[in-house]
Amino acid sequence: MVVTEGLGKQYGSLRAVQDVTLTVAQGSIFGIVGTNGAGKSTFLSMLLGLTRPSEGRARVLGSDVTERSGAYRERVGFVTDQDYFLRQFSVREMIAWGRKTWSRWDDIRCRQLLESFELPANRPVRSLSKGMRVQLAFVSALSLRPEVLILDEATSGLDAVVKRQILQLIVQEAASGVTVIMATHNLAELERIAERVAFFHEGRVVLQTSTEDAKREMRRIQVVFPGGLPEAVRMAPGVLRVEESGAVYNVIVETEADKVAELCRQHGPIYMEELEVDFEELFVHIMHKEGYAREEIVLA
Amino acid sequence: MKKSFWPRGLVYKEWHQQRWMIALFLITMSLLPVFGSIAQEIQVMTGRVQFLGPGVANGTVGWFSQTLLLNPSGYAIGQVPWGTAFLFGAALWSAERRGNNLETVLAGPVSKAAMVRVKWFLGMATIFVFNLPCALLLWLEARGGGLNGMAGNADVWLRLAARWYGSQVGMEWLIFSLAFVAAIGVGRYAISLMWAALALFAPLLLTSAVAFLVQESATPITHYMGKGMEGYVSKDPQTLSSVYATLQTWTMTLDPWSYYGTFNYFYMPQMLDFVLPVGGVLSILLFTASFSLFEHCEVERFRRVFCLRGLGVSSLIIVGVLPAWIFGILRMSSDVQAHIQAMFDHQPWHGPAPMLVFTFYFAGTAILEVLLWIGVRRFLRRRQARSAQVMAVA
Repeated sequence: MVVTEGLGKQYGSLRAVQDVTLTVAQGSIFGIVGTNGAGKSTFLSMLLGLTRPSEGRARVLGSDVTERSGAYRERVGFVTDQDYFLRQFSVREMIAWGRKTWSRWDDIRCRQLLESFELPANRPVRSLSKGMRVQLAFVSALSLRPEVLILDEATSGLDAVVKRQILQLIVQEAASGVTVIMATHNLAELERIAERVAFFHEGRVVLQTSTEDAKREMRRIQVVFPGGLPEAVRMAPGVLRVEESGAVYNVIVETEADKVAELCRQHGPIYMEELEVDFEELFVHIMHKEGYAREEIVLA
Repeated sequence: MKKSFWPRGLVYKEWHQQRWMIALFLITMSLLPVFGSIAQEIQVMTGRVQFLGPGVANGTVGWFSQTLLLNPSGYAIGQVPWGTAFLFGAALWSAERRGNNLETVLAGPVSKAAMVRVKWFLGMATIFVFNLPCALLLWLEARGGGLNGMAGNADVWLRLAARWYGSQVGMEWLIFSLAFVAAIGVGRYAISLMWAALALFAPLLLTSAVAFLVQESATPITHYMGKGMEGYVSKDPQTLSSVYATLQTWTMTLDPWSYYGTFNYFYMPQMLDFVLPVGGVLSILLFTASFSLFEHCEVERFRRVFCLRGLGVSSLIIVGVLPAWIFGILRMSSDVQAHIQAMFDHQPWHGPAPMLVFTFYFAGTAILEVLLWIGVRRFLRRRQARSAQVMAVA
């Protein structure tokens, strides 16, 4: 279990992370999303004890992250898209190092994972592709039989087959009681596996919710009217945006979706369907609300 | 849960990272007497050495070892391992700057304290162990023959070899620990070496500068009278010359090239006995400093400067001071000093002028280095941008 209370990190005048309070229950998959530079990696780095918090506190598996011995990391697996390797080592040597470092290291599990990922044991880590290095990081992180698994952009750079394999592994681990904290830009995969999610923006958590609730908050009403979208629907309270695609209108509703749907029905649509919005839509909406808007780029 | 003073994973990692440096240490240490003897034999055989000293049997195998043990300052080759210790101390940390080594290790159940401890003890143990075969070889060679009267007296040579071993280990421990603490501060290999060198030579630099100023205020009476200060009479002989003499003594003592000469066995044998305990105590103090420095420095992603940020630029200032160190060392040679002084004495300007010349020289060097650094950095950035462009297109 992971608990943070008012956690913050300041670099000079820059507040990289501020006042983050959240609780991740045991055996759950917790997603962290945010724009680039939102403070996700700094937050995870603080959970690992690599970065010292400037304010607040964080406890991982009951231990304070500022604890000097770092003994709690015995039960924490970590995978990142960054090169967290001893580059001069071969795959075999990395495994040997892991075996000597973590007392919970499981050789049988390690061999199984190495075989399933088909990683070449004698190749130096520096000569592996990015995808292979991420796979090796997963082998290490899962072989130490973690109780908490921290993933920072861990699936970026992986091909679709391996990504699916790894997502399955993450779900299996969570099912067996491992707490997973996963920061990613891939919202589709988070939507598939995470139970709760925190949206980071400029170091703060702007929304913390369950994935179901998050999706329930917004709705997409797809409608076709014989004479175009009635102005009453377009201007109805709760309507965030209307996207037009030929005769089909996608009405994105932020609140009071049932009322907007009823209004549509009153105007006699030819076709109407209520759909859930995807996570990406939700994310963009939240970022817009937080003032993180980007102009459309039109290249000459 | 594995909790030990020597985390096995760390020891394994250090061995893998540093095995070549350890091998270099073994080579420079163990082969010292062998190389020394061979070089000596070649010199004797080619007739380059005619007189080896009173009571010395020419061309004998033990000659080199005996003279080295009796007079450690006589051979610069004995100081080669000092350089290795210096490189080793910095290498232990600079290796961690490759990739995210440090983060990789500290993301595991490893404390910062354990990391410092393993590295430091590895270095100290390497120095302690690898000097031993060298001392043993020197002892075995020395007892084999050479000096008349003392040849075959195993006890004498054993004592001398033990004393030599102690002083070598003490000196190397100190140099290693200096480079070690400097490398924790900055991480980069070359810069940490420069910082360690500064720490090692700073007293020399300071005393040289002060001595130089005192000397400048004295009136030269002749240039080639003899060595160093004998050529000058102070304006105020009661005070200035005595200050200068004291400073000159300190400078000589701190000069690494004449360091061993000061502790020469024949003149101050008891000093050699103090090198090991003093070196040991200072090393422990430096270890404590490393411990505290590393404990308080953060490991930040994308900010790989270890503790002291922006040291790359400030180290340029140190580079600018490098000529001052060289000058400080050069001035130990009375001939060079006399020539420099003679050069200035023939000019119409006296007094503080030479000091000004050197100041301008150092400042100019520092500015040139900064400009060079900016140029190199721009070039590297452009190259990086170009390769990023190529990657993006690919």
